[in-house]
Amino acid sequence: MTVGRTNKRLALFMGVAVVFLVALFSRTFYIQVVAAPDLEKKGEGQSVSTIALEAPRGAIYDRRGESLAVSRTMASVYANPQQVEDPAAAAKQLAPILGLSEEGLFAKLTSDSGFRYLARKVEQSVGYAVKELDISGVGVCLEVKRVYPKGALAPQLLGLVGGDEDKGLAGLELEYEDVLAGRPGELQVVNDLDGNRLETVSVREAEPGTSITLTVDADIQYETERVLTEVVEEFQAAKACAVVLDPGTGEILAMANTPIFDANDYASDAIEESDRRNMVVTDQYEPGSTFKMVVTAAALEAGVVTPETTFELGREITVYDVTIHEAHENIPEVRELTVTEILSQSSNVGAVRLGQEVGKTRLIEMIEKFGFTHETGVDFPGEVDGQMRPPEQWYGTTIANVPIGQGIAVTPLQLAAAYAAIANDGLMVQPHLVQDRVDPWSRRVVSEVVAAELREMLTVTVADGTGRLAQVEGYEVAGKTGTAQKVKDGGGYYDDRYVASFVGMVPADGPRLVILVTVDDPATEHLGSYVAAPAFAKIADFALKRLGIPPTAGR
Amino acid sequence: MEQPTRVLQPARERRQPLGFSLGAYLKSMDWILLAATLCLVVYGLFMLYSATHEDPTLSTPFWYVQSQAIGLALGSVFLITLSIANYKWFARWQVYIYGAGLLLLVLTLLVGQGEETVGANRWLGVRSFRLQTAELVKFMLIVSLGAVLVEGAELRHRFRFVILCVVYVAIPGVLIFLQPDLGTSLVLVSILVVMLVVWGIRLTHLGILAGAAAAAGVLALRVLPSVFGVHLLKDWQLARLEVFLDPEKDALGDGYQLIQSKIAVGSGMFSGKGYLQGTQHNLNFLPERHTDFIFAVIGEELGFLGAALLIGLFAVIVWRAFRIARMSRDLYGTLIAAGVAGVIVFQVFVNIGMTIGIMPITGLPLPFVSFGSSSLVVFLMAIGLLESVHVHSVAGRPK
Repeated sequence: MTVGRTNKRLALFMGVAVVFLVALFSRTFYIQVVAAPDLEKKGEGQSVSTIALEAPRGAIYDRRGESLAVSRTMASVYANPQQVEDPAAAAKQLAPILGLSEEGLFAKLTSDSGFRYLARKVEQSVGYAVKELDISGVGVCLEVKRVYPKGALAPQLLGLVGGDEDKGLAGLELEYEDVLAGRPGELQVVNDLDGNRLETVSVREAEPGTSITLTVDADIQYETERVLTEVVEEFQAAKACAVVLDPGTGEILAMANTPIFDANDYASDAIEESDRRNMVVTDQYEPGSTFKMVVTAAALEAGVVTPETTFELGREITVYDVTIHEAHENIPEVRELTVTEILSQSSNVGAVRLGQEVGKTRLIEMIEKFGFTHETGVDFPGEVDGQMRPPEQWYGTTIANVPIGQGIAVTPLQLAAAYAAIANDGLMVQPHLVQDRVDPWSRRVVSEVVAAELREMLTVTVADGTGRLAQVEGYEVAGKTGTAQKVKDGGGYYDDRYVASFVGMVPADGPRLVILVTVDDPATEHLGSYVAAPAFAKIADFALKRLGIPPTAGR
Repeated sequence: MEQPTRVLQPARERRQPLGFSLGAYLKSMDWILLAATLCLVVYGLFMLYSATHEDPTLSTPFWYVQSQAIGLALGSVFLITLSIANYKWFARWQVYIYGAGLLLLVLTLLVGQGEETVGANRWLGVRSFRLQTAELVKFMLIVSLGAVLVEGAELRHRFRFVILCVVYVAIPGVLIFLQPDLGTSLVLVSILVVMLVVWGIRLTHLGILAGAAAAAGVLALRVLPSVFGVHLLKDWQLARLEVFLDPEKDALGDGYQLIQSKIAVGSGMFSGKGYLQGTQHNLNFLPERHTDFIFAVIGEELGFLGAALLIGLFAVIVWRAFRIARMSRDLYGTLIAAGVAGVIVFQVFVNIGMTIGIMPITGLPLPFVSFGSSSLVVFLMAIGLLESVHVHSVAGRPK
């Protein structure tokens, strides 16, 4: 044996090694450069899928930061019925934990489907309990649930989140959907070949929604709702609604509707569709006597009368074929009333006389200036504007109806905003519900002088007129009662069905609050002065103290 | 006229340096080999970090890297020690080294620990110190078999001696196979074949051995299971072989690793996705990505360029090993160097080969790169052995 042969053998071996390494080299080249595009496609197709990430929804807070709506992570229990080995046993195990019937669960677990929810958005502790059972084919995932921690508070206002993508569907949740929703993220998940999620490839983080802070004060809202509920019960009314406004800023401190139900049950079948309405914004009604303020304002602004101007008035007034009667009894055949008294005693005949003095054009102009023909633009969905016969279609008799709040329809919010303008020295500020989201418009409706005169007249109304029950101890109140006959669906008026209302401001010499209370179809009593004025007083009393507004000096 | 045979010279006939000269030692080192080795290990550390840093169960993303670095430190000490020591010393202790190797393997079978998931006993150790004995035995067998072959240098014509060598390797081979670790027992076979060939086995003898091996293979895979119901290979070992032939057939099971690693390598394309940017391997698609499938991580993140660099570094090491084998003054050095080169070539080919789908999955680590201290330490020891041959029998020789 020779060194030569050894070297030959080494060379042979070296050659084999070179062949091996070259084989690796070229195969790698083939895979990475020649066949690569094909393989890459294969890699992604089988493994990467895109999943939308829920963006945490913004919360809704009241003006003091109390949570009115928050999102909580809940557990949802689902099953892949095809993978459930023993549906009967699984149903038996799950029923007590989920609080569902065994039969119902068994039906779901044996359904011909690859995916069924067994229970959605339950407490996470329930989810853990289910996970612990470790039943094959039954899984738990997390879902976000909208929760209204205050429960029965402002359900019509807050609205609803729902649908497959948990979007705002009603109320403020709908109005501020874009702000609250945020932007969903994207998760590229990679699944192994068994379909198990392994890890994340690339993420676009979900942008959380922005929280909003309401102008509403939860406590005032609660008290308002409590008072309304009481009123509805006491007078066996169909419904009631109210709004509390800060006239200087247009901020809505409370906006309430009956009946009150748990906001978490908004979508429940037990809730009537009509009960979900925020009537303050979405419903029109004939305002009745509260509207006499408008014709008075028009007359004062036009300079045709002063508060002291006296009219000689009968018990009724006839315009063409329409005769307007005074609503009150025991009225002398002929009496002399000042403009202030016309308002404070709510004289129908006097209001029609004022309308005649002002004339159609100036009255319409004032109605438009008060904004009754337009939406206020409040940040709430579904707002309607008022309804008034177009000027060219006014009959000769229309001038006998409109001044007393008939033949015209407004929303409670429009009326409250009009009174807020009087409270705010003639300047109207756009009412709104959410802070820092609305840039409220403001415009002059009447002069400061006229506004002051009207406040004085409305003060008399409460001190010595129809609105006496609206008095609040320690504060001077200005306001107006209203009792309007309800309009029949087919036209005309019901004889015995009314909308009783009171709208007022307090303190009268520098109003900080404007409150409107509307009670629909009270059965035992129908006058605004008896039904709505006391409710106003209760709400005002609470709100004044809540806001720390000092009592009027000297009273 | 035949040239004189290269045999191990009796120690007394050689002039032994009386002292140790650091300068002479440093001068006689194979620095290219050392540099290539170091580059490969560091390269491996970086890729190991990439493959494991996102493991959520780790207390620190550097856990694997730290563990491997300890292996590097320990292995470096062995490397230097071995390179200073004269490899010829091993020849005298051949019997003891071989015996110790067998003892380790028997102990492993009796009291060893293993990964329960695959039903194998491969580890020997106490607490955190665990030795994968088969790795060490590879190294021991190279030096002991080399000594046997040198002693039998004059018996090349005797087939009985060749059979003796086969039995000599078969005993530890079977013990490793019983662990079971088919891959490493095949490594022993590769050591035997390479060293026999370089030693100068007659081609007729080699042919007979090859024929016998083929017959044994048929017997083990076909005749015994079907006729006698004896299964030498475990089911998963057979499955891996079948999957290699048609991976898509079992894409959800055993073909999974193969398909995923190919996808990972392929998705790296020419220049890769970038360091730490791999998706396939970071996503647990690749099981064993830090050990057996580390090449897929390299291929995905660093592309063909990174893969070529890796194969190139191996080529340098193999080239230096052959150079040492060729230039060694004695047959023992030649056989040791060839054995080491053989192990490296075999494992690199099998490991990368399985990652890119030209070899069946056997679970052999990629030398110097795959996670695993035992493997790293032993391969650094092997480099130390090469250096020892270089220092003592190559350096200073005319080329």
